[in-house]
Amino acid sequence: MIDRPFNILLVEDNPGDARLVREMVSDCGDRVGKLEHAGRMDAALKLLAREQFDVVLLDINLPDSGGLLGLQRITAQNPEVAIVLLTVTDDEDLAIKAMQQRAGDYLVKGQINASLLMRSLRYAIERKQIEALLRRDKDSFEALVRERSQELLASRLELEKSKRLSDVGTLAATVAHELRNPLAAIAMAAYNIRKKARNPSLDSHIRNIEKKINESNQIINNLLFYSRLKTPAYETVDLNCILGECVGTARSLVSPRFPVRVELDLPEKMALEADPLQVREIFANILSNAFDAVSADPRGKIRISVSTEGPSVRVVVEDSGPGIDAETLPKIFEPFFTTKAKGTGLGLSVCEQMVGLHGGAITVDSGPAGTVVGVTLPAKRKK
Amino acid sequence: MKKKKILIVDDDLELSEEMAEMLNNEGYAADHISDVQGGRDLILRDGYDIFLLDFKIKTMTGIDLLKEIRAKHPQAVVFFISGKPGLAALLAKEGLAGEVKDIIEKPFSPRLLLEKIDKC
Repeated sequence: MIDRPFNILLVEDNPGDARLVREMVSDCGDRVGKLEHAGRMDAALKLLAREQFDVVLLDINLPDSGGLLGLQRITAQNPEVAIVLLTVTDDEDLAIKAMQQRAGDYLVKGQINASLLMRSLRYAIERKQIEALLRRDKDSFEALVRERSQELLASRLELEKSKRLSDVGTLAATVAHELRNPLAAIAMAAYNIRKKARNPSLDSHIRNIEKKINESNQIINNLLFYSRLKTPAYETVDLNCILGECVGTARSLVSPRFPVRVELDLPEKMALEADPLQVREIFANILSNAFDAVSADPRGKIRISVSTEGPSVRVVVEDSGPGIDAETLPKIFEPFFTTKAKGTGLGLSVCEQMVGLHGGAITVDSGPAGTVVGVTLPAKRKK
Repeated sequence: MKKKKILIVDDDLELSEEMAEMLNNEGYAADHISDVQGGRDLILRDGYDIFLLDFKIKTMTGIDLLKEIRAKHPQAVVFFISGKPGLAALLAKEGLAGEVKDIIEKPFSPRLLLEKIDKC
């Protein structure tokens, strides 16, 4: 309910009618702010552009704007203003059309009095206000629906991606597992051939077969890494503990020729929400690469540091190895890309995917003095 | 010294043949079967000192076979030779971890298998 004084614009070309309206309005005193008068549509539009009005009292038969045209012109220029039409005859059709075009009300000249006029004006203003509220609610409702639909779509895409990963994972695991059987028979047969043949000229061939069996097995193991790519099963993990274990694992896997100095710069305690198996794989891979890089260096050194960066945890692994050249560097995360004779090329691509699944990021910088791998992981699981 | 008798139970006929040949050459008396149903009387026959079992053998799982063997041969040494990951956990869950001497994962080094059997 409008309770402040409201401003009226009277658009009426007949001076007599205009005076009548003025008199009716003046009876209402403080309920009306101001009453302005224009005799023609173009004058009215100019006033509307310059000053604030809550309601327009519009004669339907203006010399420069007849019928509902006036209604349309005002609405086009000032959509927020309420309009009450003044008609001469009780034209039902016109009234209906006017209301359909958002007129607040219509009054028949000769059938109005002061209180009827005021009530009509007030209700027209209120109707406009309610319409504005409804429109605003409708807009925010539509925005809300749009937002929810987008969220829903995003979830569905993630679910599909997860399922796809899971399917590929299952496929990889199945293939890998099945391959182990024939490999076992091949290994046994090669052994028996060597024993039976007792022929040194065959030895190198047998050795090659056995070597390839081992490589095949490595490939299978790496494929099984890939199969563990699924939505992280979040737990609270003790990062220091995992890093320590990964150092041990990587060291024994690579078996460097010389002892490698490992420097640890860790906070006393660092816990984060992550999938422990995946975190282990990530750092086992990175550390394995680091140990590889320094394995032929008698003064090889690896440095691991952990710090917090806002809501994330940052782990940096530096090695003093020969580094990765500029040509190779952009490719290191590609699956099946490797510069190692015995590598499958899956390690870093698995790392990258697992880091991504946690909502983290991995960077690699490298130069002749060594390589720096940085992993950032959110301390708390991303919601 | 009496030769130790070994029975190999595995779906993979070729693998079983090769394993049996290797073990026979090393002084053991090794038999192999790939069909559990048909060879059941062989399995439950007295006299085997060592069993080498695969996990999945057509109709029966290695675990069910293990239970049957244990019932008849409480003294025999049983190895699982399997490519199945998580077998150790499965055995633990069934309370059978103590019944199995070792799990040798496929593909295994033939030398490694020989070492383990020699130690029995």
